[in-house]
Amino acid sequence: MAARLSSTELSALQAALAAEHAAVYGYAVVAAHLTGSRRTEATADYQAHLARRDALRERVAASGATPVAAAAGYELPFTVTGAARAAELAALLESRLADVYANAVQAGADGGFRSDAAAALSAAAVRAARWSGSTQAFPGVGTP
Amino acid sequence: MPSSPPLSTPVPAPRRPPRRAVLAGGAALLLSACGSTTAARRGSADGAGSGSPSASPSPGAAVRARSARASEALLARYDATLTAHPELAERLTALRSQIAQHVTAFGGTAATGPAAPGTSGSASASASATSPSASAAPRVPASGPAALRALAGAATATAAARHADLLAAPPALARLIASVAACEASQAVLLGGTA
Repeated sequence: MAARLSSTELSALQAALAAEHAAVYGYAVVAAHLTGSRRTEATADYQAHLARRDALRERVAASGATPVAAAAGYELPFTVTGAARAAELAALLESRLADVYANAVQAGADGGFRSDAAAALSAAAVRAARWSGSTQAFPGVGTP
Repeated sequence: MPSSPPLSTPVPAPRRPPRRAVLAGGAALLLSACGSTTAARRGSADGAGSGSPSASPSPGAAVRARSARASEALLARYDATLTAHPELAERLTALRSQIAQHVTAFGGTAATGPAAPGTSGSASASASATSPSASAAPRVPASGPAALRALAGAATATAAARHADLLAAPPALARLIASVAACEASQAVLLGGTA
């Protein structure tokens, strides 16, 4: 894929990268509070976000920009005290990713860019549904 | 998880935005996303409905109309399933209403709900008089689980079929299409499909 990015595409990717950094951090917390199959699921999602983060980092770097770095630490939106809160955090992380990927869809001038962003949006919505047990009518777009 | 950030190390001393704000900042971002959505759905993306009368259809008008039809078809599937399997109402009603919201967002007209069992005679007679597709109601498998699987398959297929329109749409409409497709994909998961 072409290395060039428009400035809106670049900032959308940087935002996505920042959100993936946060997701990687958050899923480590999530997994730590789960056991059994749910932990396996969280670990798989964690790996998926690692891969996504690396791909975004490469893509940003290939465009000539400096990829945003992970923060040294993240403040969680609430204290994760057990499995239920862990699942809630995972769903929240995914819903936040849906937001940034929806922004990326809109920012994409190029078809491939738009497709990738839409696929990432869908993946986030699917994971959010798995973690929360419910769906949103307009993932990444808020409540109408 | 070798390269993960520390799990239990406390967040480093308050060094303030933008770093620490990233996670907590989700709320703010979410709000701004909502704002642009409304703009997306009401505004420039479509042009259908408001503004310049019919003279020149906006670039997204055809895409928008196709998108609405796809959601209407999926809605008809939900309705047929609910009519055939009223016992699934608890499971399907909320999902169905999301599809109805999609129809509205694309500028289509959402039916209010499946014909109540028992009133089907007159209801479907009048429906078929006004809507060409009503006579060809989607087939629904006889068993509940199979009906759910069929619905999941329909949701997945509807999402996948939006790809060309995603690429053809103006940016804000593309965002809406991607969001709707993402909802359909996630519904398929809850309905028991795999994704």
